[in-house]
Amino acid sequence: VKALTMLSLCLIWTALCAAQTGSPRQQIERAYLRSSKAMALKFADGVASVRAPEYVLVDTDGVRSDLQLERSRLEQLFASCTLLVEDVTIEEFSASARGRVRCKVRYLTRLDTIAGKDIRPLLLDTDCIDEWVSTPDGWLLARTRVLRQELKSVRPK
Amino acid sequence: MKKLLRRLTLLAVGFVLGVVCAVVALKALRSGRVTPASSPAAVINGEAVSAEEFLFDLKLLFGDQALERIVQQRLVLQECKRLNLSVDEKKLAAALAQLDPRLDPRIKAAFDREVRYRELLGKLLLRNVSEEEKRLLYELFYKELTLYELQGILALTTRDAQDLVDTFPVGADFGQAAASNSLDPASKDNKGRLGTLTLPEIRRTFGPDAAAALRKMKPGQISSPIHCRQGPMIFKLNRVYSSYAELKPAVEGMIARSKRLGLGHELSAKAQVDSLYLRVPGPQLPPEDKAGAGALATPRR
Repeated sequence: VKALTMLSLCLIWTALCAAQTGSPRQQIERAYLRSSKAMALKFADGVASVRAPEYVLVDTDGVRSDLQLERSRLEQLFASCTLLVEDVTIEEFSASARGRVRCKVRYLTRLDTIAGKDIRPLLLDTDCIDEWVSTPDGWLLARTRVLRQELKSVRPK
Repeated sequence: MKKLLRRLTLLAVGFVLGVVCAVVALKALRSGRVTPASSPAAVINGEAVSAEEFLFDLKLLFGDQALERIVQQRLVLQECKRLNLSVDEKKLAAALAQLDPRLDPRIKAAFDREVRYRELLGKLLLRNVSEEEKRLLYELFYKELTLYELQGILALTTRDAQDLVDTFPVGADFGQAAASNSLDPASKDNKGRLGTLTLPEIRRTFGPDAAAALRKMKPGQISSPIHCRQGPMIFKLNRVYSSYAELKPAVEGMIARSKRLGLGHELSAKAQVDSLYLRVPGPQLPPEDKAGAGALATPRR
């Protein structure tokens, strides 16, 4: 586990260094990796750092929430999970209007929650459309529209 | 003769013991820290509240929290003992030496326990984390972890703030100016000191304009008036802590926080804890992270 953690960290760091001025896709992939690493560390400021100040999330019911609300939701999630592992796959990548980039993304988030003396592993499966905007601080996530979301129980190995 | 000698010896021993007891009792009463159980906990307009009533209420309101905390501490200490983890006694002694020597020994002992517990908890949480890993996390998140040591003055209007900046003599004491001019009651009495904050914390506390301006400032520099959540403010940036050595405790804190809940659960799940007073079976670390148990009821990205 230690070796794998080290390897993943090295890969993230190498990717960050190697493609500091890479293509928009490379930069956005790096931002997803950074966000996932921050999620694993339960570091809300790290997750928020790849989001624009005017970030908006629109859920499956069309309810909108801003960065502040998302951050407080994250804090609640972090407080109830012993383990958080997020895996992001970019399924579609396309340029959109006003210099924005649109990504269809699948998030698979493994959440280990406490249920009495046991750990209850859950899998949050989410399909989103993420809109990225280029800023002096790099590419930042400006809007997330949740297309589908499902929470499943995972049988512990 | 022998009898007389024995009597005299007994008298002398009795006298010495009496003097010792009197001195101890006098000292204890003078320090005012010994409260006989019969003394009232408070007297309100002549009506006494007994110590017994006070202690019962204390137990009722906070008893399980206090016990839960003790259980958590013991679990961590037992695990550290099992893993042969120990505290740096020199560091501990240095921390204890900073305490007021007149302090109640029970408070000193509690402080000793707390410092020991925190030190060991840190070691336990970070025991499998290498220096390399810490450095890599620093490289990833140093922008969010960099600390800014600030002083500030809250003015009534932007014009007042601008006047302060315009008339501020070169090399003058910013703390003095804050004490005389700031409208912020919290920092005014503390020479305008606002603490050492990260950029995300500055953004949340004072607003995005303050974070953007402070990010560009150099240590020692005084800002122009900035529109903050509290009103127009001027800031002085005293120091920026951004090197790995300076931010290593923050990196370690971040790693430790991410593991605390898991460790707490792991220790309590395999422990045998019997108590009549614990309302919640199976204590969990950390107590401040209890909120949000229902977060998964409405999962959202």
